[in-house]
Amino acid sequence: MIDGKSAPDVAVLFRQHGPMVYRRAFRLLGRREDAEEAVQEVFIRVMRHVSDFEGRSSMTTWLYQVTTNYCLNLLRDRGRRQQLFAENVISSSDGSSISDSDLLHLRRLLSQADERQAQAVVYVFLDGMSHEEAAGLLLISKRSVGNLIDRFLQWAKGRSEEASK
Amino acid sequence: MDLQKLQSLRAGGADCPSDLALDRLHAAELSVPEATALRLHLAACQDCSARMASRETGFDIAPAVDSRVLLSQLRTRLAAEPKRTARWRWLSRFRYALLPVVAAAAAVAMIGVLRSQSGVALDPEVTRSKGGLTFAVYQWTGSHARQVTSGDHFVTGDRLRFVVDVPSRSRISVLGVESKGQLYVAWPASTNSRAVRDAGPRQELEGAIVLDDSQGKEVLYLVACPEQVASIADSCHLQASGAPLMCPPQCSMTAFVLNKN
Repeated sequence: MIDGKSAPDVAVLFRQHGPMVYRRAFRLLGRREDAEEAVQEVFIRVMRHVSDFEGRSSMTTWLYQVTTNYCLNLLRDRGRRQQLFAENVISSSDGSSISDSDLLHLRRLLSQADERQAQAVVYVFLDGMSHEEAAGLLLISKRSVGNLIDRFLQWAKGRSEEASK
Repeated sequence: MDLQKLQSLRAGGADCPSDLALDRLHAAELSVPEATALRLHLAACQDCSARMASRETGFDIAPAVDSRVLLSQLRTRLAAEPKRTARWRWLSRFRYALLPVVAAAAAVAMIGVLRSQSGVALDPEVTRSKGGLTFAVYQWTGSHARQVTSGDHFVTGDRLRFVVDVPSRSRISVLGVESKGQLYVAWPASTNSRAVRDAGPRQELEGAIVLDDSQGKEVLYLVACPEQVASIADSCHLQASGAPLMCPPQCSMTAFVLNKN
């Protein structure tokens, strides 16, 4: 954890947290090139704003937030969306039981979902956080996390019904 | 996509800790009771034990990713970024009012430089760069190299390689100062090495150095001098044991501290 008073060395930060940022970005984006780009963007943002970071949360928590927001924005980027979905690859080397097609489907939904709902879904279903943990990152109540998830599920159901017509 | 499918996406079972919890454990950010509870779970859960083990491997879990290159690119991009600290943002509101103060401070600094004795000295406690000269040190582990930080700890037999950014065509050398105050040439190891380098980033200095069994704090100095300086090792000297290295004023330096134990 850093105290916000001393700027950390980027190499130290990268060595300690780089693999975690890469792993999450790769899971969310599905392409190595995009995940590598995400790692750079996330650390640039963190180094840029590190003086504003006052230790309100842990460095890991902050990096989760920045990584999630960056990746969701990238998924939403219309120009890159087709490329991301066309070249979807996913690794299950971390012991997860992720199905490629399910993850591809989720990425497609996340690219079109409401931003807050998408964040809640990533934290709860991809990262496996409890509603309480996700509430801490989203700065909302546990109940609000549940509401965001419910709304996302309703919206996703509506979309699949539309697609099957 | 229904709830059941979404729930199948997460790593580990429903009662298993989240990725965030494992990552925070790995980063030593949890309180003692939280960490103890997690470790108890890990001891009993094969899935989570594997999830945690994957975190210990760092970038080895993604062999296609060269973390060295990634860090180097990141550093290059950060170096190109304008400095925008909170303090600077606050100060910038008063930039016109502060202009005379800044000018006066610059004048005082100039006088200080002009009055200093000839030769460049460097405090080895701080890694500095002058004119864009940068010095990156990598520890070679046999299968890959990892970048190390000034002040890190090393043991006998550790193999180090150097990567430098050179701001202008220069003769370069890496000089080492042992804890007992002895000066030695760490690079170039032979006359065949290309000691004169054109300006450019990320230049690898060929060969590796192997650390001997001397103990204590040792300092490596990357020294860049004009090509006309025939021998950097002969041009630089130590005024006293424990004192910083002195080189001709037209040379620039940056230091790297090794703690050998």
